[in-house]
Amino acid sequence: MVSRPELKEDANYVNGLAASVLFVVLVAVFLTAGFGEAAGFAADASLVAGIGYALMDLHAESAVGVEGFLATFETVGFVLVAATVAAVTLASRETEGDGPVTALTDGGRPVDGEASERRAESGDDEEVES
Amino acid sequence: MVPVEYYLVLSAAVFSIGLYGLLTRENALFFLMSVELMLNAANINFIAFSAQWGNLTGQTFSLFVMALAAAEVAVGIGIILVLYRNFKDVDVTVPQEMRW
Amino acid sequence: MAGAFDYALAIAVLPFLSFCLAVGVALSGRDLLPKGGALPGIAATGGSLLLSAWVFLTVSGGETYNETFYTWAAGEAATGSLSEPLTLSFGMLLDPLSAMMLLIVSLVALLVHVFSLGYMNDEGETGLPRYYAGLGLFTASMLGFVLADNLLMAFMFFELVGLCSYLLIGFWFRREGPPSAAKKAFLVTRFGDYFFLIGVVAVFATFGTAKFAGEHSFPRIAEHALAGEATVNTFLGLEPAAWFTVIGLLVLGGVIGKSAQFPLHTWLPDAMEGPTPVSALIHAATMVAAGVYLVARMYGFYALSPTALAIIALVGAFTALFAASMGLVKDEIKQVLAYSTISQYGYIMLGLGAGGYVAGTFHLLTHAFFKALLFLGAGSVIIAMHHNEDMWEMGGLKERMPVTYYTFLAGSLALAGIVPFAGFWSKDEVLYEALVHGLGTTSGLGTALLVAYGMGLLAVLFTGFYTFRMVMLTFHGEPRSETAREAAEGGWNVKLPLIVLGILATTVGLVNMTPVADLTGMHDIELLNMWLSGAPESVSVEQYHHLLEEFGGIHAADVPSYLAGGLSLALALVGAGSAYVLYGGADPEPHTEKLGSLRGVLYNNYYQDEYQVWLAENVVLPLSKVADVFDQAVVDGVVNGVSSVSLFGGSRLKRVQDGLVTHYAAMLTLGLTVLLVGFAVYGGWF
Repeated sequence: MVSRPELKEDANYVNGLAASVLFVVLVAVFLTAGFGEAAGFAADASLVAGIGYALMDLHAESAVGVEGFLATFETVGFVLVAATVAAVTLASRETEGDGPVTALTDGGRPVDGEASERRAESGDDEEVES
Repeated sequence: MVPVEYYLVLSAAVFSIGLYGLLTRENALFFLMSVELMLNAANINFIAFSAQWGNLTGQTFSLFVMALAAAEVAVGIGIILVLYRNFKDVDVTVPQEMRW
Repeated sequence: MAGAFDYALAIAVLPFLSFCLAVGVALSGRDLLPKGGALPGIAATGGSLLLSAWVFLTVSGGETYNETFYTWAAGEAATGSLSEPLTLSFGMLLDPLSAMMLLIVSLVALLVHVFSLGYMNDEGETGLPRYYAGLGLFTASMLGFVLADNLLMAFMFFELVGLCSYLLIGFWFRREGPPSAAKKAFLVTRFGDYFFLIGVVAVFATFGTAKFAGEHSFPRIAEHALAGEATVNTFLGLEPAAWFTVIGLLVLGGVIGKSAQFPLHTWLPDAMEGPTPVSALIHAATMVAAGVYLVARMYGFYALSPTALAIIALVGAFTALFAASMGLVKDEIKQVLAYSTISQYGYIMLGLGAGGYVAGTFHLLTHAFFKALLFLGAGSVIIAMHHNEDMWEMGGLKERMPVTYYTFLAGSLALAGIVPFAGFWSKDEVLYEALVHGLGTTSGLGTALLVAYGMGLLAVLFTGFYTFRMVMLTFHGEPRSETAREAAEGGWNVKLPLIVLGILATTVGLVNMTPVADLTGMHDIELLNMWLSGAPESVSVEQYHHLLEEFGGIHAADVPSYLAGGLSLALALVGAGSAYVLYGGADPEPHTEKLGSLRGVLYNNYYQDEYQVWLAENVVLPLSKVADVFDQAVVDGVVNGVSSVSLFGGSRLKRVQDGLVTHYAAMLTLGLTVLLVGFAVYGGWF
């Protein structure tokens, strides 16, 4: 159902108050802290090249101070692949209901092996939707 | 040059807006969006302090945060799909069986 | 070349293997072993006997062994005024005393195993693997106790021995008596062992070591401490001498329990509920000997304390007399033997307490043989009488069971102390030591020894009487029941142990004929004395003699030993003769009736059980009830209160976790805010 945007009225504004309080506290902390003058970057230094060097562990080449991040870079690449696979696994419909999805999201309903037993006992026709 | 306090207040505002959304909304998709806001508030801080200290590490790190945000969304969307499949809804207040 | 000492450990391990085998078979539930496990037991104890003999021969060649082979806990630093940190270890001490004891234990164990073939197997008992497992474990732990080179190891095996005693007394657990007797034996000896345990801890705390022999042994350190050459920890603000007495008396608690000395002797007569071979093995020859063996083992320590010696001597002599008087009126053959056992161990204690280390050990040796013989003889009679133990139902068994009769008679003569049987030599040496040391020592210890000597001498009279009353009633006169008329002797497995022990009981006393040596001047024939002198210096007879004279103040008076021996022999003959006169006829009268009310007192064992039960019911039980109330109300109350508070709190607090992700997020937010504000306030950020 598509409708035009409208203000959500049954929102939990009491909880929202907590966020407001946190904002006030944060701002109060930040404004009283005092950080001094910003160092900034040299005008002719290439920041993008520096980041590129840092990702390849060539940070000695960089004009601006930075550390090597090759290991992190590779790790993040791996995490992205894993997340993609996880997303696909979660999203794909399981044909028989035996996949990881039913196990992961039991939703208060019987899981796996037990489930079929219990269904057989009670004669309950209600299948776990999966 | 813009003082770092301004960035910080901006990031606090973005973070709090994200948090407000998280606390008041019940739709799981809104949750995802709110979390993105909060992550980006953190990014603002990284970049602000990168400039503050004249070091590129903060900027590099914000790149990684974005990559992880992408991964998080991928998994988050998957979870929301499963949520919808099991509860016919994306309301996060409905599944509450995993309590005491 | 591997010598006997390399295999000495196997002496204790072999019976343990037999125990494991019997337990394994019992658990398998099938009757895999022929003779219900007797044969492995016989093989194992036979092996132990051979090894013990080998060790004995090696030791008689002048070699000894005193090594630690496993240290299972070692302290980091010395405590108090000690020079070395504390270590807990296992080791073996093989010196003349332990070699002799090994030989006694393994020989008696072997003979008892053989006898059990006749007593248990041929009688068609069930549960034999359990029986032989108990015998095997008992033999193993007793041998381990004898081998032990330190007090802690000895204590462990001491407890194991007590456990086996419990298991074997309660062998017929379906009847009413045995389980109760087993529990009583266990609890009463445990009561003594409690003091022993404290004593062990005290020895460790005081000396930092519990080794029996060697330069770093606790008796040696104690000696140096008294001579002012070493320092030890003392407690309760006592001087070393007084504190050593306290330790000695604590350990003596275990001895009194195990060796059935007054007032903890009450378990032993009840223990006769067990099978008779068990009575022979455990309650006559070996386990009960563990207590007095312990005193002999750490004699270098007791010799330092005249007070402890006096208490040992008095307890021993009193027990000897007290038990002998109760033995006078008993009707059951095993009961008489039980009281005679208590009485004889009293003599051993008397001998040790009187400074007669050799005499006490000698009596230990002879008693082990003749009492095992008497019990096995009684077992033979009981088989023939179909487990009727009442002597008034017997009579006239002499013709029907000649082998049993003559061996039993040899044992009885030894028990009564008639020359030249074993008991005469050893018992008279005990009494002689008490007399000469009593006369020669001027302090209170001398008086105590003389009192003890008097009691011991009177007990000789009683011993002679009850022994021959038993012999007369059992074997002489006319049969007084149908079973006695039809009694017949058992097979070879009954007769063989009897004959072996009968020969030993007759001859073993000849190894230390002190009165003969005094008469003829040939001191070469005091073989046991010489044997025990061959020990390493820290545990030798000379060392003990030196300690007794220097620290105990004990000196010997010059009394010819044949005079003392003649006196006690005369008393024994009077006792035996009066028994013959009173009970020797064809159909003896129960003369005990004439004793009137005294008979009741004796018959009921001076109401010892009654007063101990009274103590338990009227003193200990109310105290326990108070403690129970305190426990239930206060201790449990606090615990339950704490738990109900946390239960209630938990049941309220768990509602916070309501499964709504929004609420969790809100709580996180609030928590972060509170933290930030807290840090800001305390950190002075604002």
